[in-house]
Amino acid sequence: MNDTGLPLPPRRALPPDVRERMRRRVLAEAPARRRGPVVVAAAAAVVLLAGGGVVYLTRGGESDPEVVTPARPDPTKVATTYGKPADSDVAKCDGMASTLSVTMPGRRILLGDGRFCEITYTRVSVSKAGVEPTPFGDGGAAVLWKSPTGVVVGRAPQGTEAMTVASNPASISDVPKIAELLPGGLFVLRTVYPADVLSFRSGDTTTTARLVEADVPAPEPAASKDVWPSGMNDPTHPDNLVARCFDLWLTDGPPFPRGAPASFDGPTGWQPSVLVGKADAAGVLVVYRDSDTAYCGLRDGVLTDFHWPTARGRSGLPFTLGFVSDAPESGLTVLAGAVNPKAVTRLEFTGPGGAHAEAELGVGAFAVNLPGVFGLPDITVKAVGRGGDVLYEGPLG
Amino acid sequence: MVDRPDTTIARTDGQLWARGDEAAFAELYDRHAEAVWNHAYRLTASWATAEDLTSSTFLTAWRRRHEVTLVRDSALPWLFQVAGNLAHGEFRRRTRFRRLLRRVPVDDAVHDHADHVADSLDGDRRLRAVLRAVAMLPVSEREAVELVLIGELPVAEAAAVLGLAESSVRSRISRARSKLRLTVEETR
Repeated sequence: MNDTGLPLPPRRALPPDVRERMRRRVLAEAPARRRGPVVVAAAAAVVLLAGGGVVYLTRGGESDPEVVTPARPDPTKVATTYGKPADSDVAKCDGMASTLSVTMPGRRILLGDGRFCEITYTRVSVSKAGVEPTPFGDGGAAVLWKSPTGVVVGRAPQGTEAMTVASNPASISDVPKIAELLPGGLFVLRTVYPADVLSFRSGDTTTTARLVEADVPAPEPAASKDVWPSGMNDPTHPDNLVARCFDLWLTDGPPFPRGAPASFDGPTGWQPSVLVGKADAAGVLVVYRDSDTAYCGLRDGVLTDFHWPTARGRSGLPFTLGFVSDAPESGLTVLAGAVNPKAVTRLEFTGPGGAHAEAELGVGAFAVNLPGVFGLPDITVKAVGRGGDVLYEGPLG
Repeated sequence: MVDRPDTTIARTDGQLWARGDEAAFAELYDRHAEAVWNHAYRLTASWATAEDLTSSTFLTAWRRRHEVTLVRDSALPWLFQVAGNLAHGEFRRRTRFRRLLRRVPVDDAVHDHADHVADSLDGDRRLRAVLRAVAMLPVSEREAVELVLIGELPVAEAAAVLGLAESSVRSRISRARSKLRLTVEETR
């Protein structure tokens, strides 16, 4: 019981991975909406407040997930293949009886009789038995499961011969979409839209059904276990951190794939270079392969996001700034990038008010947590080379 | 990565809201995600649904950012109101939400992140009982209850976002309390 007189539960701290999962969803979709079709207009009443301000009040009933106008099939749909599951995959799924395996970017899903299993680069999740289907549209179609990485497994209306998903192609040009009708009248679907219009064709008849993502059950509790490619079970082992980081990227879309090196052919061969902020509100793990770097963001020590390098800061520096944290609530500015340790032996960053930190240097990379939240132009950097000579001293941005 | 220049200056919600760009919206999300997530749980008694509802609330906020001027320079009352509208509109129209209110969950997506103590199920049961009682209130009282009693917002902020005088909100809360008292007693 609290001060309100109602038996309300105490508030919980928002787990970093939940925060990041929602954040990715919201921020990945928000720009798409800006460029997307016009949304249902909200009724707004203008009320003059006593203080002279104006507030636009929205009233109940207009809680409208986006209406997606049926359009032509999306060109960003990615390849999905299916077939008999490999014995090794069945073994990973605790021997779950399955006759169909669907391979999608970053994951495979095994389908059984009311059971499902998702295999990603570092994790295997088996659904609970007896999960209740969620009908949508006029009830002829249903959602059977939503995997922990957001893939919806559904059942199409009886007799469906083809399925298309309509959305606005222009707004999701960089977001791969999974949409595939499978044998047995099942389908898999993953988009970043809050709502999709699915068209099911049977003979000359096409029926449409609107699927609102918010109505799809969140990932049902599934027995999940880590399966590390390294063979080592310690999730904090650097190799496992790298693997989990790439798993995030492989399964998350990726929403923003720009920046991946042309040579990238998978997570094999990438190594940890430097890690800062493992015990802080924010941090970064820099990974490298040859001369390429990538950046795994951490929140409260948990890997939450993946970034290919994005050129930041001013040109002409003796290092390349490739990552800047965008987590102001952490009270930290997290900076990381690529550097030649043969040329640069020390990097010092100073913010307004005397905030100061020396970067950790790893193999071909650096990272630093600077106390305070600053814009790049407000940060000065001092790069020291071998022999103590100052290679650069001045603003970062 | 969002380029967020000039982050040294602390901004109010209203300033960020008025700016209306992606970086400003991201900052608003970081400020209020936890509060909205907790409020969403209190409105649905399901952490899994709370996650969906929180995402939908912020997406709605993004969509309507140019239609809405914040009250008292805080986005939270309006976000709470949006969450309430969503919970009672699109979510509630679905049978799934009704089922959620009826059943006591044995699992939830958040279990990976929180210690699952034995009394949490009892807490969920009591919260569901309260939500059922709140759902039976007239809309005007329900809105006030959700913002002030469940969301624990100051009456003044709730009044502002509802466009009412504070005295009106207080009287609605008072009437609602009387109706809810029996439910609260029964759930103890």
